[in-house]
Amino acid sequence: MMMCRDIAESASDYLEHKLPFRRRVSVRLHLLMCKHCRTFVEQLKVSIDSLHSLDTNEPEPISEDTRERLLALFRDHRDDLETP
Amino acid sequence: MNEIKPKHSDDAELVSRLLEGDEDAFSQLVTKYHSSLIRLAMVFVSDRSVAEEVVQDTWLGVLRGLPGFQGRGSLKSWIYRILTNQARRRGTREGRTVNFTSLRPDDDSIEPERFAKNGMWTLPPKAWDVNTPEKLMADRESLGVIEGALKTLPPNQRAVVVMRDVLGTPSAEVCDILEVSEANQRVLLHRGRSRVRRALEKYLEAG
Repeated sequence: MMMCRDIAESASDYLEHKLPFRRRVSVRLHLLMCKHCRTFVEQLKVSIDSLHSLDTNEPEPISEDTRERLLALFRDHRDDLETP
Repeated sequence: MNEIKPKHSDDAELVSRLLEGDEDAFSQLVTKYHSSLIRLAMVFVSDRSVAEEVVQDTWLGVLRGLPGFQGRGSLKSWIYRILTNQARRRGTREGRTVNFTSLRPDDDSIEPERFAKNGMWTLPPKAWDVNTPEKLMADRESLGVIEGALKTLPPNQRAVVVMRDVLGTPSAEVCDILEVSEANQRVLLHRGRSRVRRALEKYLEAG
């Protein structure tokens, strides 16, 4: 019998479909009946999805200085790149 | 796995352009990965300027190693590996080592006092008003809360959460690059994510 503490521990694996079939069914059943755990799992999912959007929403632009420096690096090493 | 997956053929094109000395190709590569590399470096080193040095060294390593890149894995994975090695080395020099093999057994994902002996919630989570990623991301403060939570994660949890959730690196690659077992990776990921949830909970309940 899965208790809330177990559900909370398994939540990441559950969200990623990493649980073995029977476990997954147990978790699902518990979630159907337990509002608290449902809330927890939803909140975990929102947290994960927000982490996903962190850099996509505000990707840091490269400064022109940095880009120039890296291109200069590239030019310096262009000879190393030609495969013999 | 020896077969080349379809997406790796994009890599193959980029790599051959790079090897021909195509500057635009390198500019594209930099645009694509530079900020992710900074974020990843920040997992292992103490400050931004050090991270920038590490990333610069990484690009140098990429250019030097490119003729030897055989396309067995993805280009991205290869670059991330170079970065991780550089960043960890630099971090170690600064006295910051990141341990993936022995996990603290007492580091619970959720504070134990939130559950009773029988395993049921004593302090259950309350529903959030801001309950979608869109709503959350629209609020600059919650962005700050998430970034802050990431910064306070133990480095091994931060490494996994950043690589898996922020940078979207598949789990097998993360295990490979960080040299962590799948089992440990999952534990670290869950602990890190739970802490992020907890930080958001604190912020959202404070109203």
